[in-house]
Amino acid sequence: MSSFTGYLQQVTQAWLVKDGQRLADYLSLHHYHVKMITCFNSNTEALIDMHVDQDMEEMVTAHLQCVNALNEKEFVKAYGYQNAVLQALSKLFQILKDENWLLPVMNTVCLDLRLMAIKADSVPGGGGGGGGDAGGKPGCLEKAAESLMTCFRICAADNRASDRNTKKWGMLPLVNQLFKVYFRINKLHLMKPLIRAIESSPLKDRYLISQQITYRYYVGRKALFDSDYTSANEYLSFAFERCHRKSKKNKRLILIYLVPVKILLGYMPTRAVLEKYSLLQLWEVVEAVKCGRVYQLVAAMQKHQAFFIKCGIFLILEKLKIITYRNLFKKVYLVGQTPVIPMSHLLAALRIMEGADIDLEEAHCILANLIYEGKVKGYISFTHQKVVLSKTDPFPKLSTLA
Amino acid sequence: MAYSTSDTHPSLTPPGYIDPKVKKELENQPFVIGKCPQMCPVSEIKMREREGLIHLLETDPSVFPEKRRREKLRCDPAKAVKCYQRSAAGLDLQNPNLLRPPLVLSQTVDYLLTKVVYDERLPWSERYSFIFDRLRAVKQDLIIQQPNALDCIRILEPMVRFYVVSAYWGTRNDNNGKQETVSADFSPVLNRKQLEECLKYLLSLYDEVGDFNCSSRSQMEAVYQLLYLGETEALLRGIVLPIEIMSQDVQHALKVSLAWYNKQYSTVIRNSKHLSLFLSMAFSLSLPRIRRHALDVMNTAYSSKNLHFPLEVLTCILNFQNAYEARLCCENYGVTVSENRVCFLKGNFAADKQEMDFNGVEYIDEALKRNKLCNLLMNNLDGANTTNICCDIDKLQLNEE
Repeated sequence: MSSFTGYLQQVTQAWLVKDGQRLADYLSLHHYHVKMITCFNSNTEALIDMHVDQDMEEMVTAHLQCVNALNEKEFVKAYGYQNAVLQALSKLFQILKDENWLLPVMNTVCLDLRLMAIKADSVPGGGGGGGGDAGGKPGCLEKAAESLMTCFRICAADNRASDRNTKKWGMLPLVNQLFKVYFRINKLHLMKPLIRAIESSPLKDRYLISQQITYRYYVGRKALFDSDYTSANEYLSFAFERCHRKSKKNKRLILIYLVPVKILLGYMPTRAVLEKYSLLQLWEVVEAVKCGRVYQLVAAMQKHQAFFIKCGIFLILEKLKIITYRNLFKKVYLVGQTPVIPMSHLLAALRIMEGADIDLEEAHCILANLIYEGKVKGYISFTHQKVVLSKTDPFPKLSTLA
Repeated sequence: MAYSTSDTHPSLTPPGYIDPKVKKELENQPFVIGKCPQMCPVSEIKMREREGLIHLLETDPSVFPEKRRREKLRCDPAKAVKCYQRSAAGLDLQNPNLLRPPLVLSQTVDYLLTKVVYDERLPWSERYSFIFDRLRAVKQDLIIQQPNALDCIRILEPMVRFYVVSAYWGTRNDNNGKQETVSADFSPVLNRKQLEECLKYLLSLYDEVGDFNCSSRSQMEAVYQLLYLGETEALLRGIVLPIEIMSQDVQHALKVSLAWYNKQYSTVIRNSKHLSLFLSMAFSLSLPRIRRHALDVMNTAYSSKNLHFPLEVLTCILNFQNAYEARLCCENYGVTVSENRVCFLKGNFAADKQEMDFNGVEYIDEALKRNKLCNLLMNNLDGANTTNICCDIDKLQLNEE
């Protein structure tokens, strides 16, 4: 028990000297003290009462109850206590005007809350609707998002403190936590006001680089979801380039989305890169697109369907069909080297590369779309069933288009 | 304690966000269970008779429209249906005596969609607005009571079908070009709003009941794909649907939606012909949009001062009823047509022009003549469960005067 008293004294010590980082460790669910505290009883409460500063009692009690529930594998209960920790912390945090040293504590508690909520939602029958958007009872994760939002508002509303002491430094880490929740519960539309808040913040480029990378990774994915490929490219490229070279796992995650965007904008990755990040599933896609083999693209998409759907890039790969058609038609043009090509040649190429059931009408439609989007320069003559290509640069580089 | 959670930045509140305190109250409060045994509470009947607010469709069949303006109507209690009322101060929506339990709601929907649709005393437009209002009240009762998912599903499915069919017929002109009276009562926007709300409610219920296989789920999933043609969110739901939901209908609907995702109008229209009658109606709502885009694309791709595009081919590609309709559509967007030849010329396309009014699709109209409306609405496509009333009154013509 002496070690327990010691723990309580350390907590108080950290509080008194305003050491946010140390206090954060003592309230973390991933710190070694968690394993040492085995039971919670009236004696514990008395000890807390004796050793801990009164302001902190509520928070520390909830934390220890949470640890106890966690050790007993009662995840739904543990989530409830962790939420109480955050509530108590928010109160303390808000009272401390012009001080932001509690930020590390808040980050730790919020992170643990999100992880706890995920765990609680995975317990069958506990915690409500399982976190899905089932419209029924909200899952723990959805409730956690509300608590996180409360913290975010406290940070965002701190307008008067100086740059050094402002709670606004807590905004980005919280936004990143919220993004993770929203992606998990599939509510991307909730991201918009948060993005606006960050983009208009003067601190935007002064946050920790790791937080900035996370932020851009999620905003990039959101842009991809909204089919805004130029912004997706911008955000994801930043994330990939600035991500630490040793964080291979994170770099791989970014690449999953960056590669399809790049292909769509006309940049093909090398096999070596994909191999390095074990993303060879995408190499099959790259090859198919490059050579204009639509059937191969379809086959690759089918083969790795589960993977692509799980990552959420299945639909953007569908978009690559357009690029594949463009490359196929370019090859037909290169064979003949003449600017006037009979539609029947294009149709024949399509039938070889996609399937025998394609008809002339569809060939027309594919080509018309390419011309409309500026990916092919020329016009179609329906009467002669020929396409007349521009004499200069009939297939402009995709990278010059966007 | 000197803090409050209310001093928040207003713009930071996400849409659909409910104050946690209010939400907590809602969660702890059990939902009301209705006790009203009839389609319309007695007190409402009395009030509406007194105020002269009885609808002709709620009276005995012997009462004719002419009577309507001269005197206050008395209603047939078996035909009265609860009106929609907006929530307002002083109005107790939670009163169980005014709420109908799921079974009564289900009977109400059944009554409206198998009997009132056929009441020939009034033109379709007026029947439509009557049913529209009463279904809205049904939905309100449902939302207040939140009965179990399977009950809700049974009530909502026919409602969705009603909105789809109405949307298909809604704003069309007669073949003579004579404007129908519908326009006054039918608002495509409001109809669409109800349709979307009901459909999204349904989808969330399907997710809630999970594996339980509801008879019409695949039809509704297909409708969802077709209403949100080519939209990322719908497609993402579509491609991960469980295999038992992937009926032929859903597969075709998905194919169409994916083709539109890449704007392959030709494939879209070709695949749309495989859809069942009901789904074709849902699809046809997007036709004006598809045609507009296709014409825009073709106007660029086939642009030439000397060359022409045959009107006949265009009619076929974009599934117009006839060359005349195709021509009207072209001209609406500033594309000139002379002697059955379309002259596409870059720059001529009037992109700011409103979409063309929609006049239905011939093969759907033809098929509709062979189907009974009530069967379509209740999804008894084999006719096996036809109620005898429907057999009798099968002179249905939706657009009759």
